[in-house]
Amino acid sequence: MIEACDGRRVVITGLGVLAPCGVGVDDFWAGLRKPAEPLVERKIPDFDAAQWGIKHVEARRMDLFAQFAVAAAVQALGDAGLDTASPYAEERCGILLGTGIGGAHAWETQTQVLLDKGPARVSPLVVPMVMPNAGAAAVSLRFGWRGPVETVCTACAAGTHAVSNGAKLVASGRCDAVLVGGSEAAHSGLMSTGFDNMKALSNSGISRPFDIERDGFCSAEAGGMLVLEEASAAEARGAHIYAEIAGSGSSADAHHLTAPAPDGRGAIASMRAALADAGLEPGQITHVNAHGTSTQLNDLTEAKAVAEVFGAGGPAITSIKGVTGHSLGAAGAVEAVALALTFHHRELPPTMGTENVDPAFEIDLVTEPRSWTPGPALSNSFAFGGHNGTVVFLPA
Amino acid sequence: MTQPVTAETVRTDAARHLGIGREQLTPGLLLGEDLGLDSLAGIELSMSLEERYQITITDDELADVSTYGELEALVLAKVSAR
Repeated sequence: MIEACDGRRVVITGLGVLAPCGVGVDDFWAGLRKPAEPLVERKIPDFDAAQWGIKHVEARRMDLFAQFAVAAAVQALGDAGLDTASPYAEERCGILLGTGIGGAHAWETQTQVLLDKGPARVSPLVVPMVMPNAGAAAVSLRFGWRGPVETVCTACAAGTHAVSNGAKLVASGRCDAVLVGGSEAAHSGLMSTGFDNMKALSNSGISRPFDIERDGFCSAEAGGMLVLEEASAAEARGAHIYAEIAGSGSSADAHHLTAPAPDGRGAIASMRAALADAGLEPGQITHVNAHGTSTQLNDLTEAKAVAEVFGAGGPAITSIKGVTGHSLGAAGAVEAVALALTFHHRELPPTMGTENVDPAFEIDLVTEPRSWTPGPALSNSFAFGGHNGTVVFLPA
Repeated sequence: MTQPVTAETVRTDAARHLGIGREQLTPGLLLGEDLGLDSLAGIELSMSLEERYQITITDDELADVSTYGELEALVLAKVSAR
């Protein structure tokens, strides 16, 4: 990693996740292998803020997306063992959170209050509930972390960019530990209608990445968080290490507001930048956790880009979105959690929902769980706005 | 509103808004120091009661309130003046 100072390496020591297929890493991992019911809007089942220590009054002041961020952070810190005893000073601990939309529920419900009941009834907290940085702020307030606390808003690449940018804080020595991830709760009527009217959503409610029949994405709520630490400090305190983050790439298409560049140039540039950052050759990558949204254009462009970067006989490719759906700014974080668990379980999760891989794609798509010897792997995210992000994991 | 508004009903609604037991809400409690309400939380509580009882509490009136009992009295006075 180009930011690495004094040989510092960045490792993943804690995971937290809330997804429609499961809350907590165990249920989430098991859920990745269970077929999902056709559903174009996939919600987190039975979410209860109180379960995550969010008090009744606090919950009223936090949009759902911020509550998901806190809940995932509670899990991740507990998994890392930093919830009860931490060797790190709070000002050396940072937070990088990605979100695509931010407080969509608060925005929309308070707009309705304004229209129906007038300005006197609008919550004085509407601004701090709507603002996209509310999730990172809520996590900071909860744990008292006082280092860099920032938010990345690169739509569906935000989760991957947050993981990447947080890793750089640890690599450069600015932070000892960071919580990185993403959260999204954008099932407001307005957002859903917008996605539907732009023909991005699946009509069938089936998410089937890279399938010949793919017909759009299924939107999802989610929160995913990872704890990153400097490797030697993590080892010294006996932390369980899932994987190392060895590099990242970021690029833009500069082609179109929503459509990917048809030649995949942005995706290709992002993957190549990540490989260079990690000091790896394409042939060393054994697995790609794809963005794989199940839209016509994303999957076509991503398959082309992967084939271009890795050539024939390239890495095994999975998209977990067949189960999870697409959680926009949380997706890259949820997929980083899935990739860390892939290292842990030594098994590639399948691309559920996909029955007939589009014959135009020259990719090795994983459609059944496949045992795997951990090796260099990467995770991609691509976004409206033309943003692209890639992060590279290595076995610890 | 068909039910008569009393100190007890105001206390019940305020306690529910604050997420605490009604018996914990005594008149002498300072909104800030004792109940931990910052200025925004005070506005939230006031707005919640305004909506519940269809009354209007002005910023100046709220600024003069420091204890729960004063807020309760203000709400009851507004209700009787409706």
